[in-house]
Amino acid sequence: MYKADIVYSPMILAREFVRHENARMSDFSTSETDRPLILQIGANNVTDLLRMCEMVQPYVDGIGLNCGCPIKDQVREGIGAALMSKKDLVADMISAVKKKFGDKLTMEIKIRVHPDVNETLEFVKCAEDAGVDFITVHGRTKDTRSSVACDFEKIKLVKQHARVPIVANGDCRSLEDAYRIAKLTGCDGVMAVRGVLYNPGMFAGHVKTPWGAVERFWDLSTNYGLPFRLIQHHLSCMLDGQLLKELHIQLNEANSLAELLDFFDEKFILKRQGEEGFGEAIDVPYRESKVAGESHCSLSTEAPSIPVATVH
Amino acid sequence: MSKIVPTATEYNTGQVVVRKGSGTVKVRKGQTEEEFLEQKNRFLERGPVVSNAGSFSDLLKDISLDDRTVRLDKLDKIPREKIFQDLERLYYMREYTICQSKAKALGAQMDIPEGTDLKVKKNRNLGRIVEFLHDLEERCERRLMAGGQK
Repeated sequence: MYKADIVYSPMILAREFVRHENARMSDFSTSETDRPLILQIGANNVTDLLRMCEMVQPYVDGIGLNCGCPIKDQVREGIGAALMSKKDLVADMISAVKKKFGDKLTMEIKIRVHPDVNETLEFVKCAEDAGVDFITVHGRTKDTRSSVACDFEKIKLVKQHARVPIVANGDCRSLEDAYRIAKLTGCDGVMAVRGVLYNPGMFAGHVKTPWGAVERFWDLSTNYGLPFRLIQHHLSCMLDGQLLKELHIQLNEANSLAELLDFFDEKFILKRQGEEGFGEAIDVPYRESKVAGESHCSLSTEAPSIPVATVH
Repeated sequence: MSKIVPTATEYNTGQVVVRKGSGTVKVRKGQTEEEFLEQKNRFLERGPVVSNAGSFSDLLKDISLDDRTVRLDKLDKIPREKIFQDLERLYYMREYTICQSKAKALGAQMDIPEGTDLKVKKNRNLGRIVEFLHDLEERCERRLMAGGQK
């Protein structure tokens, strides 16, 4: 719909996934339109990773080993960014997966850069030798704050030395950013994470979340049964900067899905599937014209396509 | 400790040693091959939750005031949440009459003894269920009064 070429699942912990049915039901649901789908996995040992791959392989196009998550609780467990200092373990995990599944399962790793980029180049070479299919590189170290700009020079250097496709990640908040990052780094694709969370239409050239995406999100999320707090969080991000402050606060303060829906129906024109114009509006359609906020515009550039990836 | 730290190439049980925030060392238990196979077979029997457009479940279809088979207070969390989500979907679809009648039926089926204090800790979950159904019923009523049925 909004021109993402690849979609990723949130990070799912292999340890819990292979041991508990409730964890599987809460963490992994998919849909026939979620393709190509990379299942992002958090693991700290070969066994859990291999077992998880055995279970999910029929339902996904590839798996991504997360070596970049900086959340302390995960790092302490040896998951995410903790793997950035364990290149031999990562290589063992990659080669175990590729040995067992070969071309049936694409294997990606998502890494961060090291303070010394030579360490990153060594890490990448190790992963390539182990058989990784492609690598996503985030241009910050595990200790760099998100307020500090992404280091695209390091990503560029990784791309120049790599033998497998490299996807650049970090600070991609618009289609223009994606083209700029692709040009700057020479990478084979660009991944957006927060950018897409705040504007799912960005790869289609929308500069802000189009209202049609909000309508589609309401329809899909209530159809799929997404938990209320997740629906609220996504809507809050999607409409960030588009609503008057008091309305945004009201959105965040709703305590049930029905209350949130009452708020939307009262303040905006929220069309349902089957109604004329459903999913097509761009600007926020306020019911009361006097509270209409900022103006909106959408890019209509017919720029050449580049491979882009997105995390959802 | 080195005995229980897995060597990465070994097809072991997945037992690993981690250092907690407090500095204490904790062993995360492994999983035997038999335990894994049981989980794997259970998963592959049904596969993951696949949500497609129009996959709205039929869980609510047969629920009526006369039916006493679905007891929200006795259900596990996951199927209970699924029923809540289906009710919310009806509300979103502007099916207020159906949504209200189902919520009413589900509330009536719970059989809560008179005088039960829903605020005490042991009944808090029950209280949340009652509050959810009651709130939804009221909102449906308000929408119907305002002529909001599709």
